[in-house]
Formats: sequence, structure tokens, C-alpha cells
Amino acid sequence: MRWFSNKRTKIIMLAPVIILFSVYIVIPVAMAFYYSFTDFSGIGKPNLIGFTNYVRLFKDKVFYTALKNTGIILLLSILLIVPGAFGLSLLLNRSMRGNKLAQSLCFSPNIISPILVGLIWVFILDPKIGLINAALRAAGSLSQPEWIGGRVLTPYCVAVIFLWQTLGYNATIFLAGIRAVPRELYEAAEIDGADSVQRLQYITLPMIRQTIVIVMLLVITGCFKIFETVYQLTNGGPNHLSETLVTYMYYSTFTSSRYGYGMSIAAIAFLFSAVFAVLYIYFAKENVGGDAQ
Amino acid sequence: MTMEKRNHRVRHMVLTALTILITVTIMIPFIWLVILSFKTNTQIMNEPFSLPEAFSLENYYTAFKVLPLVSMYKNTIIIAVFTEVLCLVVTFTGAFALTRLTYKNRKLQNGLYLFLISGLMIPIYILLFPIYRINIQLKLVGKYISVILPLAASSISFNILMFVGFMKSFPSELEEAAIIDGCSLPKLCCKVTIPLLKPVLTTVTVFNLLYVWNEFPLEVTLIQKPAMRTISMGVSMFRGQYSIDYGGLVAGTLIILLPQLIFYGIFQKNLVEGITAGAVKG
Amino acid sequence: MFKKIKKMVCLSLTVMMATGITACGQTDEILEEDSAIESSVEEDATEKYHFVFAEHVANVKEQAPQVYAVVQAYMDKNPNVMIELQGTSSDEQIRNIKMAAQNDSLPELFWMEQGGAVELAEAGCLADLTEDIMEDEDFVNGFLPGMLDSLKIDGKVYGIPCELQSNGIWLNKALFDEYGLEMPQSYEDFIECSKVFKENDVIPMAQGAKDTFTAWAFENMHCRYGFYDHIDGIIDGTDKWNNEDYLKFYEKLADMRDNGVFPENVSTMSYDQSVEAFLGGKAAMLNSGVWDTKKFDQSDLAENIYYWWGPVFSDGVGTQEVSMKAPAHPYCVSARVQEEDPELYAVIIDFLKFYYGAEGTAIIAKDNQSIPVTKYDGEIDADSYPVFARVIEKMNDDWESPAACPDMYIDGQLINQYRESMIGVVNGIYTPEEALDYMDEQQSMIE
Repeated sequence: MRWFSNKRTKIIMLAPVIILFSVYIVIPVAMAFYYSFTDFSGIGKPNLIGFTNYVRLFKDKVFYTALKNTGIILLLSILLIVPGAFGLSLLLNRSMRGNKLAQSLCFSPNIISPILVGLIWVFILDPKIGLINAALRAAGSLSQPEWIGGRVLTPYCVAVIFLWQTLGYNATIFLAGIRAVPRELYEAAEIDGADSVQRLQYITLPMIRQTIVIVMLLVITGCFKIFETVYQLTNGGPNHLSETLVTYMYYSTFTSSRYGYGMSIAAIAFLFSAVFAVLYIYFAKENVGGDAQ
Repeated sequence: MTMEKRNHRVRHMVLTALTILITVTIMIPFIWLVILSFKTNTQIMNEPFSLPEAFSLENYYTAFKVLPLVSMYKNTIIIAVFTEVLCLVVTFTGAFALTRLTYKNRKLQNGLYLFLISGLMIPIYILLFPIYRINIQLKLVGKYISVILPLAASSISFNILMFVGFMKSFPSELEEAAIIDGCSLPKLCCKVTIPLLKPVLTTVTVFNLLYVWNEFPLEVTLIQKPAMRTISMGVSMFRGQYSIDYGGLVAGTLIILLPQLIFYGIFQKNLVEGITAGAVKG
Repeated sequence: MFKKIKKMVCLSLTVMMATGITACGQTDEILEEDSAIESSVEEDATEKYHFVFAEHVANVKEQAPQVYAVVQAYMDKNPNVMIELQGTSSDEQIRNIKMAAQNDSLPELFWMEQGGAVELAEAGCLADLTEDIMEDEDFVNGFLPGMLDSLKIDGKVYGIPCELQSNGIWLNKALFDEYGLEMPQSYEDFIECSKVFKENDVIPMAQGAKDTFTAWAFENMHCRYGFYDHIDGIIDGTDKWNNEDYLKFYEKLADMRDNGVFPENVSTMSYDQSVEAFLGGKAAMLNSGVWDTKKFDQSDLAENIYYWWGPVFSDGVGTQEVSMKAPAHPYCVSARVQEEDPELYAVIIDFLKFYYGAEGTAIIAKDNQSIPVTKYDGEIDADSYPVFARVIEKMNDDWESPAACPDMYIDGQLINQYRESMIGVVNGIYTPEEALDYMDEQQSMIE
């Protein structure tokens, strides 16, 4: 390859991707920070106002609601999806007729556009016309919880929808991890008389540590991307009680035309992501070292 | 021994039943939508749990009437195709340069790689407004390219990760041999490297396509002309247009959903395998 | 050069068609001219004037039929003009206009929310219509009083109200009769009636509090608690939202909620659902406005639907006989078209004169039962359109109206927040104090 490795070739081959990435990803991040220090309202010129937006942000109750909801979704998703997907992958890993079909059916929600997912779940969760409350009524139950649009339940339901979207996807990743574990290990354990729980505990789980980290990170970064579902289900309402960081940023920026303020929320969201990015690199390094492949 | 065997059989059946149960549960929303789509609006409102009285196609008829299907699909396809081509070309050449060319400064090589995959951690939402401002600066507003460029840019990190990961995993001997035979660089890429990359190329293409097809926030922010609305935007407008015609809404949802599911049926192998490959390599 | 001349000819003919033909008698001369126009139009079939008219509803034909009808009528009359009517829901429209303003790519003619329109005017993005409109005395006199003042800045007119902003409460008289109730006047009547309805499993007042924009009738009530006594001070920073008078009003909202005026699922009910509940006879009252008139006239309940300005309060502040006949958000013309394409600009002005002139008004009022911002003295077919007739009667009563609806008076960046503060109390999310503190907090954010 050395023949081609002159400067000119490198520039020709690398410049397009670097330019595109810089113009539409890197520079916008810098711009988001710049606008977060202004009072831009969309019309006229932006004025620099220092940290005013951030000071307001930390006094803004809705911001804390959004933070809390994002936290609820994050925590619940980790608790539900990681063990759930692992369990499902164990089920799918058994020799059983039709488990290929089961796998692709479980995976299918992942390919649907998130905006359609939100719409679909309206018909499940809507307190008046939704499936769940209809089923409750049919079963003679008097309580008709406000799954969406009430004061409490929306973020929990968003986490469940996220579970629905990603369970099969993450199970597939687990499945790949499990299948990569050398067979001989299991055979040796069987000879030693280990039962299935022990095999799981002492072989499978340690061997797929890296996969677990990957799934965790996919779930975490995925949670910060949830937007369309909330947008379709409640649009952050009633009175911002179901707002997440992303939806509140969208509301502040585009619905209220407070571009500066919205960008300060965006900057905070970016910092959260950056923290997780650092954690990711840290974990990934440790794992590669630990596995000593 | 027979006791143990029977235990084993029972366990097997229980676990199989559990698998089926989970799968069916995941399918419920789809099944529910299909049932709803054949009901009248009053039935949906008043007795959602009943079965449809008569299989009426009325809802589908209204949905076809209200949805600007032709322009929605046309716009989405235009955007998807150009984004796809642009993104694949730049990320392939980039990944090739990062893995196949030699660098004196290894730090630069590594740094460039990390720089290009750092986008994986940036939620695109925070960029919506700045990207619009950039389009203004570049005088692109109102054109397809104003959406195509940012969409392609936001797939760069994923593609680089996949391509580089895959290209590192197989040796460049075949390529070296081709060079000794006097093969030029463009020819080398097209004739030797790309065929070798075929599995990962298919996966990346399918993923990119799905991403662009399903994208909403960028499109809704950057596209203002009603004539340029894409499928996702059409879906988001449903509710405003139908107001309380739930039947039409459900049917419309299914009309959009069906082609996607067919697409998935065809490419599911690539998707599932691609995830597997990508995930294991990290 | 030749092309330009042709364009000019075409333009003058257009204007003639719009104004001349109907005004002048049908003399032979005119008829001759008429055929000349047709032939020239045919020749110039490709040379059309084309402009975008961006409206603030998703489906203009369905949701703003009067606008659609006037546009169609104008294009029928002027085949060389092509008006591209773009429909976008109001939230999206505001966002799109603000974004377009940053790019200097505003549509030629568009709806904009008042606060944003003021900002646009101050930034020089809007065409100054004063010269072209105010000099036409007949045209100006056609408007209801005050309508052209709504977007007048330093004596310059930058927009014309798209419709009449008239909020209120709709009543289903049949349900009142059924339970032996008089139609309410005072707040006490209103609560009494609500209690009776509630006991009988009828929703007293349908309210789509899922959509925060449904605070309409509450704004009328707020005017009866001194909205305009305090708001200037609040904007100057010398007064607070959380003042004694406003608090009384917000406490009334809480009182209505506690007395069961609203449906139980009020916070998840959308505006469309609330209208449906009312038209389905499940709700006795509905918080809405005159834009629903046509829909109601077409319903089975037409004979029974009445329009009401909302309750008067014994502890209210200032005059209680307040109605709402104010200008709504404006239609504006972009400054760019005025500067860069005077011919097209002239066509747009001609369209506006048609829209707000006698013909447009007739299409709006007579054919579409919408309430125009211009004077309509044509006949009203009370037999076919009873609801429309009753609304017109209300419009002509002597209850005074503020010059602007409260949500048009406050800063554009606060409109959503103001509505949310009221809806939040209705939903039981805010106490009255919390809602007002929220407003003070929001007010301090924009200074």
C-alpha cells in the first residue's frame, strides 16, 4: 500500500469525509454553544448575554422535570432492557423449531420509523380509546389509568415503548455474544457436572462482559435520542410534565422561538453525552485489555 | 432417569411457551392496528375492544385520499438515494485511506479515526438549529441538498466504524497482489476492495437507508415547502389533518408501515447479521 | 423589454378585471375589452403571476373553507394569477416563518402570530402597506372599527387581521331545556348549571385542555378581572402577574375545576374531541370561538346552538359587559416582494382588496358563514344558518370589546406560556399562585 500513500492521495480520499463531518457536525456543535450565550429570538441579530441562559436554566422548574423524566426513562430502560434482552437471547439460543422466525419478529419493531411507533402506541395507551384501558374495562376494572397525558405515568410508558423498540435488537446482540463463546468451555463444564445455572453464572456471563457493556451503552445513548415517541404521545404535556431534555429543547427553540435558551439546553444535553462518551472509551479500553485477546 | 427426562421435556415446553408468549406480546401493537383499521370510527371510540362488524375498506379509502403518497415517496426516495450514494462514497474512501494507506504519524491516523467516530455520541437533535443556520450561510435552504448533506454527515461515524472495523479484520494481501500486477488506485478500490467488502457494504447500506427513511427531526426542521414533505413528515401531519378520524389514522399508519415491513422481510438477514458483526467487533 | 411590456399590460388588465368589471355597467365597450382580456390571457397562458399564500391550518380547504373559497374565486376571475395556498398547522407555521425570516425567504403573503409579526415589522421584513391601502378610502371604510390598527406601528400598517378574534362559550340550549335550566348570565348561574349537568352525567363544559391553545373563553373572563389594568405595568416591570386581581381570576379557574365544570379527562381531551363531545350532545357547553360557526350550522344541533360571551362576575374588576370582537393575527406581505417585484406586489394588493372587499366579504360571510373583519350588510339566511345568524346578532350587541385579545397583547414569546398557565390550573397541575408565579418567571426571561 505504500505505493499510494502519498500526501495527495490521502488528502483526496480523506478530505471529503472530514469536510462534510466538520461542516455539518463539528461546527454546529460549536454554534450551539455560541447561541447558548445569546438572546437570539430568530429575528434580528443575536446579542451576547453571557451565562444568563444557564442561570435561568438552573432556576427553571420545567428543566428539572425534563431532567427527571429523562432519568426515569434511562434508569427504567437499563433495568428492563439489559436483563430482558439477555433473557430473550437465552430463550432464542435454544434449539427450537421456529426460533429464527421468533427472532426476526421480535426484531421487527426496531426498523419502524420512531414517528410511526409513537402513533401506533397512541392506540395502545390512550386512556380513552387505547387497548389497555379497553381491556381493563372489559375485565370489569373500574380504574382507567392515564397512561399518557396524565401527571405521572408518561415517562414510564415511554420507557416501555423503548423496550418494545429495542428488546429484539439487543437480544440479537446478546445472541451474537453468546454464540461467540467457545463450545468446548460448556462441554468441559458439563463433564465437571455443572448445571445450567452454574454454566450461565461461571461461563456465559463472564464471557459476554463486553457485549453487556455494548448493550448498556446502546441503551444509554438511545435514551438520549428519544424524541419522536414523546412528540407523538403527549408533546411534553400536560403542562410540560412529560417533557424530556430533547423535547424541551425542541419546544424552547422552535415552538417558543427562544433559540438562545434552547441552545443552552442543547449544550447541557451535549455535555451529558460527552460524559458518557468518555465513560465509553474508558470501559472499552479496560475491556479490551481485560480480555487480552 | 425417566423422571429427569420428563422434567427436561416440561422445562423445554415451558420455555418454548415463554418464547412464543414474548413474541406474540411484541406483535400485539401490529395486530391491534390491523383490527382497528377495519372498524368504523364510532366503533373505535365507543367499543374499542369489539371485533369489527363488517370488514370495511372505508378507512383505507380515506387514507389514500388524504395522504399525498406519491409526493411523499418521491421526496423520500430522492433524499434517500442521494444521501446514500454520497455517504457511502465519502466514508468508503475515508475508511480506505485510514486502513490501507500507511502513515508516518500513527497518532494522526488514530486521531482522525477517533475524530470521525466521535459523532456516535452526539445526539443529532442539538444540531438542528445550527445546521439550519449553516444552510443559510451556504444558501442551500429550500433545496433537497440542504437535507441530504446533514443526513449524510450524521451517518459518517457509524459507517466509518463499520468499514474500518471490517477492513482491519482481513489482511490486505489480495490488494497487495493486485498492486504488484500494476493495478491503479481507483481500479483497486472498485475491482478488489469493494467486492471483498460486500457483506459489510450491504449491512451499512441497509442501515443508512433505514435511517434516512425513518428520520424525522432533521427533515421537519429543514424542510418547509409542503411539496418537499417526506414520509415521516406526512405521518406527523396525520393527526392534524384527520383530527378525530381514528379509523383513517390507523389505516394511514398501516399503509406507511407495510412497505417497511416488506423491506425488512427481504433484508432482515443482512440487518441481523450486520448487527452481530458490528457488535462483536465493537 | 417586450416581455416586460406584456407583463405590464397583463397587470393592468388584472386589476381591471378585479375592480372594473363588476363596478362598471355592461356597456359594449367593456364587453369588447372583456374579450380582449380573454384572448390576451390565452396568449399569455404561461406568463402567470405566481405567489405563495401561507396559511396557518394544516388543511386549508377543510379547516379554513372561507379562505380557500376566496382564493379560488379570485383565481377564477384572474386566470393569469396563480395563488399557491400552503397549509401548515399554526405551531409549524410560526416556526417556519421565523426560520424563513432568518434566510430572507418569507412567502409572499402569509399568516403570522401577532408578536412575531411585530418583531418582523421592526426588523424590516414586512411590506409597509400604508400607502396602498390607507389611500383607498372606500376600502378602509369597509373594515370594522379598529381592525386596521392591530398591526400599526408608528402609523404604518404592516398587516391585516386574518379574521375576527372572537372567543366565547357555545351552549346547547336543548340540554339546558331538558334539565329545566335558564341559559346562564352570571358566574353563579354558570356554576349552578354545571352542578346540575354533572349530576346528570352530562359534561358541563367540554374543554380540550390537552391542546393548550384552548384557553379562549378564559381570556374573556380575564378581561373581566382587569387584564388591561395591569398588563402595561407588567410589561414595564412595575407590576406583577401575581397581583390581587389576576389572582382572583385564576382562583375562579380553580373554582370551576373544583366544581366539576370540566370533563374528568380534561387533560387528555384534545380540542377536536371536545368539539365532538359537544356536537354529540354529551356536553352542554364548549370553550371555543366563532370559527366553529359553519361546522355547527351543518350539524344536527344547529337549531340549539347559542353563542355566549361567558359569565360575568360579582367580584369582577371594572366593567363586566366585555365581549371579544377583536382583530385576530395578521396576514402580512414580505418586504422583499414589495422591493424587488413591484408588479407581483401590486397583484397581491389587488388580491387583498378583493379578499377584504365586497366580493370577498360576501364569500366569507354569506357562502361560508364565517365572521368577516369587514362590514357585511348583506342578507343573513337565518333559516338555513341559524347559528350564524345568532353569532352575527352577538357581534352587533353593545358589549364593548378590547382592541386586542389578551394573548395578542402580550409578547409573542409568552403566548404559549400564558395559555399554559390557565390550562395548568384547569388541569390541576398549578395552583393559582403557582400559575401566576410561573408567568412572572417567564416574563422576567424575555425583558
